[in-house]
Amino acid sequence: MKKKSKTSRFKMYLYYGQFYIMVLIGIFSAHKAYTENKESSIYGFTRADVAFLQAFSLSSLPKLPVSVSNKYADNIAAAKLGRKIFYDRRLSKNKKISCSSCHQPEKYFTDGLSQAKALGVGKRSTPTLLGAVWSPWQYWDGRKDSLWSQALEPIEHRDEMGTDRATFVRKLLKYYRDDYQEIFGKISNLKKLQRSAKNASPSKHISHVKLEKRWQALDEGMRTQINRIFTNAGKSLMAYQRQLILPLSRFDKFVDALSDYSSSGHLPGREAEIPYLSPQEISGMRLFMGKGNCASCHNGPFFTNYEFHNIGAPEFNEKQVDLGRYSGVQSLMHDEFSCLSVWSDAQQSQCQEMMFLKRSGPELVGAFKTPTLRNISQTAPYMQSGQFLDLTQVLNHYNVPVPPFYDRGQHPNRPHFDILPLKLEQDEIENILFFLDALTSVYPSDDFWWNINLKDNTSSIQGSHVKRS
Amino acid sequence: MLYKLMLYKLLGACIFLSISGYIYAGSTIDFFELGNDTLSRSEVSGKAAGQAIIDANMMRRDIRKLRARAKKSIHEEKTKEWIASANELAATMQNLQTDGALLREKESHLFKKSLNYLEEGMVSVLGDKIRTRNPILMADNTALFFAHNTKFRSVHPNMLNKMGTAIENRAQIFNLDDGSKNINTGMSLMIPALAEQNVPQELDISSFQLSRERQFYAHIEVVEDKANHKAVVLDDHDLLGEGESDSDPYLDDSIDATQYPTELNLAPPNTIHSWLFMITDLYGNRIEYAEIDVGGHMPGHVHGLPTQPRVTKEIHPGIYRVEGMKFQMKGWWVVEFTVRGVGHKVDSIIFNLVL
Repeated sequence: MKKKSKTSRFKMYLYYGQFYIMVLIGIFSAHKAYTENKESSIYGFTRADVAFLQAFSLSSLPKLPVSVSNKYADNIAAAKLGRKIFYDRRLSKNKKISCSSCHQPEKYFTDGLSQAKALGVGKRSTPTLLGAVWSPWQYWDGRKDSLWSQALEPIEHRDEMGTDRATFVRKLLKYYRDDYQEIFGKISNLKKLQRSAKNASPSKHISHVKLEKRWQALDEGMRTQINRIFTNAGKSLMAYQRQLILPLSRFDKFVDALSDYSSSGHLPGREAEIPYLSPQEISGMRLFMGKGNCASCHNGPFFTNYEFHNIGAPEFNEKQVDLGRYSGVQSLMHDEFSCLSVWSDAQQSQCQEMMFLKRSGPELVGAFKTPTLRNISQTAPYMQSGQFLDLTQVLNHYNVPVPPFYDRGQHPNRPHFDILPLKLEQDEIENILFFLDALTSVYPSDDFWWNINLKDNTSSIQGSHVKRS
Repeated sequence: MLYKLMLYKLLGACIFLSISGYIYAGSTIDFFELGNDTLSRSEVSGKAAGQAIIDANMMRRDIRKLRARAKKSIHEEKTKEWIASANELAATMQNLQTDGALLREKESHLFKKSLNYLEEGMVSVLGDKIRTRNPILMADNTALFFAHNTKFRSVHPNMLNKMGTAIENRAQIFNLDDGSKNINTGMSLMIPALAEQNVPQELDISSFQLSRERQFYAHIEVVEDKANHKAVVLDDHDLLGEGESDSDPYLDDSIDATQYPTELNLAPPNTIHSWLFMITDLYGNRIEYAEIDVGGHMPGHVHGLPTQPRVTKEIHPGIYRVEGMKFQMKGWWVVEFTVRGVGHKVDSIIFNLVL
């Protein structure tokens, strides 16, 4: 063999070295492309995606639903009166509790407790008022069919405000006589009312049976009048709640920006173009809509379909199971202040939901109303009796669900189970948690309806849907 | 001679006129009669098909016996005989099976034809009371895309590991190999809830249906509410079909909404609304004073209707107002009307709606 010269060996190395270099370049660029692709794929929203996401944004909220049973629902003066009543502690039995004791504005109208605590301790957790106006049913079990009807129960309930309706009416007229009469008309027998309306109520939630006896002792006209004023107070409270507008969260801003992009013709491909959500939050959003399928029930601008489902949340007390919608329906049938009652402003034929109420079916047992996920990271604990203390526990339950507790003696039928296991990885769960945090709206301390400390400067608040950023 | 010719011509003319007159007189076709006739022909076909298949099955047994015998026997001639007759029977059996299949097809074809005739009959009987002949659809509203996961009633803890995830179930339905492939072309969000409910290809979603016992024929339509109509958003893609058939609508088996594009039968999304339920018997007589119960469910989902609709009033003879209908999600719904009519058996009419 000829001895190879240095130049020819060098040439040989160069020749074969090319291949190694090309392989290395190939690996490097593939890796770069892969990571780049992964990042950009998160931002790769198609027009159909954008249209889908728009249905979740607060910007696509329709007008408030017409309330057939409350003719004062959009009356601003009634809303202002309702606002005063909402925060007035003097109206309770011990003068320390108002609606805002449990529905605290800074906590998005919840109280951060597992079971609501006022005069006594309740069975269930305080739900938020935000978004409640779109729900046909109020409470976890849907036992009230309007916000005004719902507002009346805590006033008389022995564990909440504990004021019988007669005393409440008397106090209301003592503190708000002018406001009330301006809205609802002059009360001719005011003095007589102030004298005789005391310690009387037919409600079954009251603290003492004497209250019922006194109620029976009142004459028909007086009873009707007390009921009328009582329901008017409820209607004012409802008018107030209809004025609560939720500001846009980061998620809403993200979706709105996406829509702007989409309508202008091109779609974003990079984080820098739309800053509102981080890559983790966007991954979480994709999981929420996709693999997690959370959007099957948590959909719409308020992330709830307001339907009743049984997701197998552990029973708070296995000796006294919570039958949910099943018992809620039974309460609805006997509700004194439903849409079908004389106190509602609707004709009976207009009360469609009540007239065609689903009263039977195995899916009602243990089913609870899907709560909103807006501000969810700020409104722990979770589920109907606050069984889960943080969102990680909630997601772990959904990840590996346990079917609902079934007691043949207590349940009329085996409860349905409306969820499927998610089988998500830990980092995926974390991303979903990040996403849920992005659903938080900043507390609007400058909003007249949210902040009781603000004075009423404006005389003509239209109450229309004003988008705030 | 000339007179005879003229007489013959006159006779011919008279005969011709009388025949054509008869034809003209008989051109007010009785659709119900046609429908009934076709229906009974389809029933006859069906019975014949059944019989053919039963005979074929009997024959198969005989063939098997013969072949078994042939196998066991030691006499060569007998064996040959038996095998020969077995083969003959096999050929006959095959013919019978083919006949059976053809008769089934004929039955199904005649059945569909009879439904078309009955539909025409009802339209001619009820006239302008029928606003639309289209199947009930829902407006295309994205927010109602969702179908929640109620595929399991309540499971024993042992079943937990066997329950599929939303993605797995979807992969199963669409035979996806990696389970993460996006079936919604044009979307990067992979939404399991958009997966369909295994709606059968041949599902009859017509708003005209025959009752189970074949006593009644009914039609449903959504009562148009001006307020609801405003909220309804039309998506052209859904309504203008991809393929338009030029074939004779009476012989066309598929329900094609493009036939009647003008009047829509749209249910408003997630709103309580009313229907009109129109019912006649198979002779075109309206069924009055009937007791009608309304029920329904969503196949594959363990829940019924979200409300309890009921018949509130008989607004015209045989036309009933059904109030309280509500569909809170899109998908395949089944609505069943149980009818107790005077002088008829208890019967039910099932409508399939793909909203």
